Amino acid sequence: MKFAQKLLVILIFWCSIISAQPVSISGTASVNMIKPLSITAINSSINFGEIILTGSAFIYNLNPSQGAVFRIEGHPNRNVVISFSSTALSNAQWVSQNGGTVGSLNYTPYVVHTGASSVYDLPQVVTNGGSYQLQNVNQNGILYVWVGGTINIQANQPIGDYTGTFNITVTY
Amino acid sequence: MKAKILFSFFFLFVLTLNLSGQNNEQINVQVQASLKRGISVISQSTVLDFGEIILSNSQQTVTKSPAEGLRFKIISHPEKPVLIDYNFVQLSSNENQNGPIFVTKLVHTGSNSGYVNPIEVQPGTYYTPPNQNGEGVLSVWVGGSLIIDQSITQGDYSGTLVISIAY
Repeated sequence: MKFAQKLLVILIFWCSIISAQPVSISGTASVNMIKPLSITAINSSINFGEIILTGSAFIYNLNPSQGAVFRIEGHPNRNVVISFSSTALSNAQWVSQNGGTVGSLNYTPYVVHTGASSVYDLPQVVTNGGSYQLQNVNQNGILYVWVGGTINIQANQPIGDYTGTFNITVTY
Repeated sequence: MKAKILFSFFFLFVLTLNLSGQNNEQINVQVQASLKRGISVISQSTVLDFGEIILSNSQQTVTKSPAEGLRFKIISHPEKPVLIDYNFVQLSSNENQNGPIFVTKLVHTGSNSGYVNPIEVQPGTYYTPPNQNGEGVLSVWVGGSLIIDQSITQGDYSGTLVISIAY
């Protein structure tokens, strides 16, 4: 108890010495400004084109080099998470205009990136939810992403023009 | 104590602000695939028989109207043009490889299964099967002329007419 009282007296004495004269202490404030993310479609078409049905089930592939191309721009060297998912295509609109049977097609995207290269060269596979580094190009973080994919065509797949929407999300 | 005692307390702090927070951007694009029906052909009659022909001392031509000849139906993708091609046929028999020549005549009646308003089909030409309940349907009728040279000898002659249909 006595020790505590002594310690308190010493602290008060020390504070009075400090407070008796102006004091200046410098601090550092820093801000880490991060470039906002943007994603732009360079080629917004994922078009499998015309496919002639054979009466047998088969898988049809679209190489990413012939699909959609996106340019992701953000903070240099920072990682972004790229997310996407499968989607269903439907021919309902075509059937409403031409008749026939409504059907659906499952589209599975196949995504790659070529770093900061806008040319389809040495593509690296992009997995859903994976993290990828934006390449530093003149203090801009750049990543080119290419999307192809596959559609599974059933033996009795109804004919028509199938459409659907593919979403891709990038996040810091 | 007149002197002002200034109590200046500056708290040392290092403030680091990270203004990034979470930033996400999304973009949507349309996925398209145009599935076309494969071409199929349904034969409704497969033999074009000219029957018996009595030979004469001069060249003769026997003609059969497409209405009384072969008939088949092309089922394809609606409104997608199909290429129809065919040629003449030289008939042959066991004894004679150089028999009469069959000059083919094709017509189509659109999706009409009756012989109504026939339109001549030229070889190597595209025709558009009209839409019938989501299918392209083209009824094709085959007739033609048999050119029998005076040198043709008697016998049973036959030949195969190949009609190709493609997108």
